[in-house]
Amino acid sequence: MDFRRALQAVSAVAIVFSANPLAAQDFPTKPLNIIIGFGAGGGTDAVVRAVAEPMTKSLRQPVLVTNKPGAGGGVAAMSVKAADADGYTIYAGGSVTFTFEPLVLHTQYKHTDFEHIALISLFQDGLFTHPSRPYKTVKDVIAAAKAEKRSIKYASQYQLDRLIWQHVAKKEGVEIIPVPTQGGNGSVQAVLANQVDFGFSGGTFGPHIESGALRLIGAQSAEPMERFPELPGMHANGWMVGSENYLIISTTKGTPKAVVEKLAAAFKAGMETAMVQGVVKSRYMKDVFIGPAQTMAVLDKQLDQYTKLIADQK
Amino acid sequence: MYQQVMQAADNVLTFQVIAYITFGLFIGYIVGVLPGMSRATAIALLIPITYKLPALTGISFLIGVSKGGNTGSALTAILINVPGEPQSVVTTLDGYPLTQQGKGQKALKLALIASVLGDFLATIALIMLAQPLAAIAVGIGPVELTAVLIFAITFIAAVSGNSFYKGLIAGFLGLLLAAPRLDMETGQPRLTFGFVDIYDGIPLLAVAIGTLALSEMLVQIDRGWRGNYEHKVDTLANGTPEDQRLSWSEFMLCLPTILRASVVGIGVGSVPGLGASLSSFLAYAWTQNRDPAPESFGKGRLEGVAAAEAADNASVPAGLIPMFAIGLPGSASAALLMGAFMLHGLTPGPSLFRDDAVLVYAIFIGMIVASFIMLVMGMVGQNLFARLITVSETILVPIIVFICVIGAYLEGSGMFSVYLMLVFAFFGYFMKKFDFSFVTFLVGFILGPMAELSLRQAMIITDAKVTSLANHPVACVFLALAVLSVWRFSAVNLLRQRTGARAEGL
Repeated sequence: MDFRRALQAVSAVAIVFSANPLAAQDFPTKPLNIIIGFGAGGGTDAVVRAVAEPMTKSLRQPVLVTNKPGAGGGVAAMSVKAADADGYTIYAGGSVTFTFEPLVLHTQYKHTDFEHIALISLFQDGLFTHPSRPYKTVKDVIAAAKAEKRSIKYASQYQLDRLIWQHVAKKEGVEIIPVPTQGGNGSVQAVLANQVDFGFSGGTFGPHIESGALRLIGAQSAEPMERFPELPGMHANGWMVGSENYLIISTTKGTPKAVVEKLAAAFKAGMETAMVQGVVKSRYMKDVFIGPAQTMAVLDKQLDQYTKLIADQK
Repeated sequence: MYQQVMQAADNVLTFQVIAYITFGLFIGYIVGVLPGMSRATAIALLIPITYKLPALTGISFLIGVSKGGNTGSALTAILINVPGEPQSVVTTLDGYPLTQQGKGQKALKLALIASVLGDFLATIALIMLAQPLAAIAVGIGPVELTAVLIFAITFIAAVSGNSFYKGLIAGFLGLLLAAPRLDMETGQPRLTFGFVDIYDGIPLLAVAIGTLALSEMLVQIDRGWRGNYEHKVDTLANGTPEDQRLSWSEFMLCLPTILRASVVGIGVGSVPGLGASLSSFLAYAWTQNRDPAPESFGKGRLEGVAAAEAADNASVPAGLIPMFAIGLPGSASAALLMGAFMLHGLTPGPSLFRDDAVLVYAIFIGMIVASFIMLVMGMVGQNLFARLITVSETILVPIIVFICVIGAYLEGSGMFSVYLMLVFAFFGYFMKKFDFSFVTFLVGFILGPMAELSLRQAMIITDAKVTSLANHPVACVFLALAVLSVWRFSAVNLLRQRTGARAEGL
């Protein structure tokens, strides 16, 4: 009797201890759920939905994609934070959700509350103006405003861009007023109607640049855009700021390392497929892949940069 | 060009393309019927299916989903007062009263014909007038949008509701509900009381379903509770055969309304940032305003259903006008379609007409074909779904409550939306009991955020100086129209109320 009980105890212990490595090896044994922090139709949505398909094949489990927009990705981040730490619930969104939003909103999460799987591409915001305006670069806009003794108005989308342009305004000694617009389309619309000096967006400007309805005058990121290397980034203009936003993939804190590695590998392979590459290109995003080992360092650096940017304004 | 069109027709009229259009319409129709599943969500979910399809098939399929969704949403709106999509809120206003009068079938038939006609006319406008309409749309910036919205809101408010003050109160309640969200300019939470779920505003469908549909169930439960409940044996059979059919004369009576509403849908739909809800509200208000008996609206007027459905459906192809012409999507679903175009290596805009004219014509032909398939599908669907209302209330009410809960849940925020909907059901119940206007309430709530954003944009752009309006002639025209509509309708309304009160007093 005792022997049998002991055997049971031993096997129970064995099962408990073997559970994690076994789970990682077999992972995934049920469908995965990717929660996108933004609405359907945006850049994040397009890339993640595209990459979910090859992943379904390589992981041999359905990869479901849902949108949970709200609070700059915060609503989705909160639901991933609260999920089981098994790697089946995955967050996809912008890295600023972890590195900027917690600084300006009272979010109930921090970037350290997650296991970050990878940064799978980089959003690059282009700055554009109406072709009837003579500006060739952002510097021209500032020079013109100074000469005409007027303020500059631009189509703003987030709090981050407002901080960036306040920084520039302070440095250049001009007034830069944000006109709030919604998303890349709102920004493009305001510039097409020629009611602001300039606007910015991710890939939304693409067709209008090609048709000549808009003219690019630079990049809002630190470095120039990959597709338009001749246009200066923010650093080249002498402004040590920039909107740096990666498409980030994260999961719940405490997920086994092996599971995170396996997911990172699946995302990497998925991103390399021709179709996903096409999507990334059509959205004017930069194709980069930063794995789980380095992701935290990138986030820390971003957080540091934005903390300084906010401190500068005060 | 003739040769290109012939080749395009050749490409479209194949089994595969037609089958996919039908399939898309079918999915869209089902999604439209289900409240909470929005058209935009459906398109986003289905885009991956089109990866492997040829561009024409894939895009026609998605356009089919978009079209089907709008037609399907009229069904639940009319039969059980549940708007399947935010923009079919307007359809419920007269559609559901018609059902209560035993004329549900008639309303459904009219809604279908109005939808298909609106859709068809807007498709023709897209084909013939895309470039000139888009040229107008490009000139419309925040300042003009503000003027258009001010005009629309005052126009709608001025004509709706029996009591001017109750209408005003309901409208401001709607605006108040639209206020909690992250502030558009500062990005800081405003009136959110710590609820992260309402950072992007109070969920729209939770409020719409709660105040319109679930409150109606409360009214019915209430009636049963008080004991004077009487089961209508068979609502379908209850009405006379004339109540089920849509006669030719009734159709002819509604035809001018349908045409007017289609024009509104095309106009509003082709301006990015205005949206389908505005077009149906505006068309409804216009129809009501022109009618000799405006007070009979909201109590079961066929014209009300026709106006809402035609405008709503016309705005779907109209949303594609600025996309095809200049590459700026006119609506959320158009933005998704644009994403689908780009996945297939095509960039919507003038260059698409130049480089791939055959494809563009083929998509246009596919859209016309879709209109006809939709008509047939709608007829079959209606006969099926209309049986729903013959079910006894003891079975139907729990089912509708269930559908309401699912609808609110699916919209996104999970159980939070469901609780919110329950709260708004009681809110709507009291609105019904005290006869407050749902139209002004919903206009305030739905259009409020849009109006706030563009007003604040316009204030910054014009430096808040009235004189700078001189640079915006279009805006001036609409502001003048707004003043005119307030003066004309509300003054007349007030006068009528006073004389009415006096007459009663006598």
